[in-house]
Amino acid sequence: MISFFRRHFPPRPRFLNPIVFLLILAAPVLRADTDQPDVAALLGQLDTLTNFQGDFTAEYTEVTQHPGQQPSVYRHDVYRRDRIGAMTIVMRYPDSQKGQGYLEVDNNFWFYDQNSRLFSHASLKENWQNTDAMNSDFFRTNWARDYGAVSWSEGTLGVYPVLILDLKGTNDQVTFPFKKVWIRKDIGILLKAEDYSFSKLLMRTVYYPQYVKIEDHYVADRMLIIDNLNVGAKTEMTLANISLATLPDYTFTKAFLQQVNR
Amino acid sequence: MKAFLFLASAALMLISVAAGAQSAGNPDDMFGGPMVEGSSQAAQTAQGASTSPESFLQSKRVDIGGFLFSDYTTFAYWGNTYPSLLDPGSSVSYSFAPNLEADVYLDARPYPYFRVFGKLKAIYPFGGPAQGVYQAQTAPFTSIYVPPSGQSVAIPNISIFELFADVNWNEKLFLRVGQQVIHWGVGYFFSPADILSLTPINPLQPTLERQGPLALNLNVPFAHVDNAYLYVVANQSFTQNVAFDPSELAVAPKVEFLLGDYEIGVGGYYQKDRRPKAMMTATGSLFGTLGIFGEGVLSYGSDRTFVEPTPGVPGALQAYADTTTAYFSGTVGISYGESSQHISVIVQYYYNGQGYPNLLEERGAVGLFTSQQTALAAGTQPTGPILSTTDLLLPGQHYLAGSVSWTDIRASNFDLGIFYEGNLSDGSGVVSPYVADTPIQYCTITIAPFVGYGDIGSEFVTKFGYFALSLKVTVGEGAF
Repeated sequence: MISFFRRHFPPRPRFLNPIVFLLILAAPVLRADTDQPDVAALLGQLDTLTNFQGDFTAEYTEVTQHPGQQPSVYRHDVYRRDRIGAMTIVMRYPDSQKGQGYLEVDNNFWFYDQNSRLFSHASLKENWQNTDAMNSDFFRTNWARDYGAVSWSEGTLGVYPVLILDLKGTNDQVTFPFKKVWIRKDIGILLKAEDYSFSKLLMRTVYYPQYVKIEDHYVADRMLIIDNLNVGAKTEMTLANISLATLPDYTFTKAFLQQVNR
Repeated sequence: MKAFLFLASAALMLISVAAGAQSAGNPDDMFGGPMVEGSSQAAQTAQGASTSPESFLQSKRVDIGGFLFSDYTTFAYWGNTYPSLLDPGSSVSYSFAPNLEADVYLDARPYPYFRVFGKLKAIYPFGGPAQGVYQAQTAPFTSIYVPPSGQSVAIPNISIFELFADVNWNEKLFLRVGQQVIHWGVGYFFSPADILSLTPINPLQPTLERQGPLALNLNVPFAHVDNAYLYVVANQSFTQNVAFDPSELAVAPKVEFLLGDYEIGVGGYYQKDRRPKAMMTATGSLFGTLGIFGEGVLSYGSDRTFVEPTPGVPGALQAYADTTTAYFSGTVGISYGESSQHISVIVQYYYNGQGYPNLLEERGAVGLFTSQQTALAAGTQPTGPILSTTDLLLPGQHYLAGSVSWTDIRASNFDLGIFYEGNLSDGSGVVSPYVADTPIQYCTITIAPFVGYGDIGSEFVTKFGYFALSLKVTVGEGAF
């Protein structure tokens, strides 16, 4: 029995192999010599900058303008617990939708319908309400897992030097299979993203012109989403009342959505 | 004050979005200056009262709101014939169906752990005469007004649709007690596993809310999104039998859990004098875009009354109950949505294990039901079990339903769609394409033909005929 465990679960080495250790130390330098950006590290950094170990709360407001229609306004709270991949959204405005809730846990997204009192599995790929935002826009990011770079270039966006990456989705769970992103070179935050369909059709363009820095993290507190399919359609999204206070566990349960619903 | 600030900020955003829409400026110009602000430590860690989860659970005021359904439909009905191209006006009849209904709810949340919710329904006509019918009442129900024989009394068409209280213990155990909507199934057009609802889904209006029973629902969440439920249900027999025996309460436990990206539900149902049932549901997605759902229910015996040929009497039928055979019913479906284009597709197949395999047996059940009702009206008690209308609901064994809808087509006011439902066992069905236009907000005009097929007497020809045309005007409908 002991030999079985030793064979399958060998003791962890106390020290790293010195050669491996030196290679790890030298890795960033080697990368620098080639002038190739370490895209995986960049995407990982994007995740690190925008996701939180603790809980996250913010009040979102979306103003959507579609041609020929009155502008519509939505306001809702977003509760996130990124370390377990959980998110809850509860509507505050319009009043007729107040209390309507959504729950996301590890790619499972439920919408609680106040008429049928039924949870329905929804998709992160769906639009949020009648806006140009997607359900996935509120969730924690997973750039490093979900995308790999096809090509890259350097440029400027406004006054900021940026890296421009053409990305391809690595799994079928991503909202858009292809993306083009503009990442600020100095601090590694996302400034702009173009979202493409399977057929490489430009679906929408998202601008992130304003961030708030909280501890070592950045939160885009203003976003402008242009619908490239419907000319003139756009949604502006702003965040307020950002908080990192610990949330009650039940916030991320179906029971909570049933309680707040009307 | 908060509402004012929100509306003011929303108005400012509206102005900025509108200004942005009018200007031909390049959005890239937004990156011309500083774009990162710091946030104070206090703001980061203090949970603002206005955004805390508790703020949804407690309120100093009672919220009142609802929904007004307001549509008016004219039908042209050709019955069991298709309209003639040369003379479409022959054999047509017309009818007008107003649908004016208000749902009004009250939502009171005095404490985070206590809430009372009620919903009333008022349906046009809002009151109507009812003949006085004497019914013996047992104590203590002796104060019910019974109008004199032959006279009528106005009965308001207002009902309490839901009335329940939510209580939670330490945010671990959640109780809901009262008359409440309960849906167990995951099916869209058909839901055999939805064994607690009092009314089945109407496939033409699958999202319509359906009344639930008086019940106590205990819910314990575990492992974040998994849930254990226990329902104790006093179903509709409670309202019929004044002297209610507690042993008639139904008990229905259920567990929901995630298995990978699939959510599985497993439950059971037991009630004295009804057949025990076990159910299972599953929902998930394929390729990240295709939603799939399925459910099944296994019943030991059936609550239905069936019809079979009478042994030894050619051509005669008799009703019988079956309390020992295991019956399985199940359904599977797929859904696809392209929300950016407002396109949705849903298709569902249903195997009804308690249905009849062909039109001949369906007709037999309808025929026996009719003859039993005739006998009862004449004061004669038929032999054997009595068939009810619920025994004739979904009489076939195999069903298929689907719908495709494309709304706000290319940012226009037009919607297109098509609905299909068919009984594959008796070979009947109905197809209904529709086109809708919303020329002004809160006013929609919908034109929908209904084309039926199948033999005379089959399920969908009986329901829809061979051809009907509807013109519906929906005006002033919406939430308030």
